[in-house]
Amino acid sequence: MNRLDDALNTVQRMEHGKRELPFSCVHPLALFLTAAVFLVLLTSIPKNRLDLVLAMGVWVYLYALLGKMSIGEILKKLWALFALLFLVGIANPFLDRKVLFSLGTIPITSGMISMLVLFLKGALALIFASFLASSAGMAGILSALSMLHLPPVLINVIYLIYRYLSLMLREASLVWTAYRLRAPGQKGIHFGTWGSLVGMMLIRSMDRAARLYQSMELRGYRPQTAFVTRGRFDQKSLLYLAVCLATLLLVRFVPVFSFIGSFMVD
Amino acid sequence: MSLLDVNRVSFSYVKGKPVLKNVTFSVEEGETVGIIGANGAGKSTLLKLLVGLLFPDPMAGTAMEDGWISVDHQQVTPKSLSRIRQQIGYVFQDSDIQLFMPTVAEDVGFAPKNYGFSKQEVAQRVTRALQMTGTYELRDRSCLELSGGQKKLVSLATVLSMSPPLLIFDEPTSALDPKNRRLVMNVFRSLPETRMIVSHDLDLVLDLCNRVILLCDGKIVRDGNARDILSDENLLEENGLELPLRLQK
Repeated sequence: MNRLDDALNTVQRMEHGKRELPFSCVHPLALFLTAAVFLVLLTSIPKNRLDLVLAMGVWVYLYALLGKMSIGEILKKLWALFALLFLVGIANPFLDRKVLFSLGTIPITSGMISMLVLFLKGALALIFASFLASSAGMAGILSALSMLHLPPVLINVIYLIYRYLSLMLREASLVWTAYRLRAPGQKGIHFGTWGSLVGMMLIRSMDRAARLYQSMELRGYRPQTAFVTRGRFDQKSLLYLAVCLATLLLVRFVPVFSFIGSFMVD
Repeated sequence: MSLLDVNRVSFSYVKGKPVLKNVTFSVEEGETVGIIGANGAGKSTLLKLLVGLLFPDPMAGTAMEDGWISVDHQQVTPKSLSRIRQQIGYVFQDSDIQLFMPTVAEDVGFAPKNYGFSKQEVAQRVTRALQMTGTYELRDRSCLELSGGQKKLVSLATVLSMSPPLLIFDEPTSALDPKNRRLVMNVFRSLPETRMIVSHDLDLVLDLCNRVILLCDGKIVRDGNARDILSDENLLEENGLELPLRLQK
């Protein structure tokens, strides 16, 4: 199986979320609200508070353990994005050289800490977004957005973009297979063919998308209608939301690591 | 009583090059009509006009001169589309185009939901449509996991959930193995609705249809009894077709 097929399978699995995950029985709205609050609290952490980001990291780790979700799998799948995150704060160590403390003979500057904080924030946000996608699924996320009274048109646009992604991946996989069959022994795609191949893939996927949209129109689809299913927000989901929000607020506003550190120093 | 009226319809994608020329016919309630013709005869254009996927657009150079199409005595216009599409169930040739929701049940319930039926009514319609096509046990399966024959039957269920009086099938048995072909044909036979089948599979048309419309270069060459037309070797050959396998010596 090539990488495109692998990506396609991932997108398809996302469609409804992994039903066997412990948090999949929680209402999508609770999952979505938890993720939203998590992101807000995470981004609100000041750039030099490594202790708070680490505490958030521990929270995410425990969440993954309870939810039987693999952080390693996400790191493996999204490694390119994690690598890009490093670039976000790469200039900080050069711009902010104020030494905070030394690790042996290595001086640790404020810029290094802020770079690390930025990277960890980005990584945690990506990991938690992946958790949300795998436990709630796309249908669940859209249903949550619908319950939050987002305009149906906007929900439909998100849905159609998502559907187009899987359609494009499928076409890309077909084009790639057709190319490989007629270019045996070649590593990757020849640079002279890239342009026409990508162009063909886009044309094919757009044509397919247009036909699919026609099929939806024939069955009464209008962008003004949100066709997502809304489930019942039960007590279990309420309990999940309450516990998650309480622990998140605790981790964000009570500097647990600093307490432990100061206690040890004393 | 006629359910579908196509009256003097001409259509061109590019000005001066009509793909349909003065096409006129009616389909009565309960009929099963086969539309046949070689590639490029105008079959697909005709189907798209029937369900309102194509409209004359002077800006794009398309035109439908003074003709009209009506379904259940209601003319096909942009304003009447919502009602027209409840009257016609269109089953695409490519089932992957037809099936786009995550599960079979959701796909079958897509149209009733869009037309505002209650949750209970949607569930009833889904169950009925799946039972009619013998696919009820597939209701929770992902559409991606189905075989070609199952996809075709589920595609049919997606339109049956709206109980349309007129069903249109575009190449219903293409890419199906003989067993699945027979299965799909048996389900088609059991449907009480008025049916139109567009196909190159002339054996299928001979089996299912009592009337055939033969198109060539955008014109109706012959409209009549299926057996008479499909056994006329000269007529078929003149119009780029061959006798059904069953009738070949």
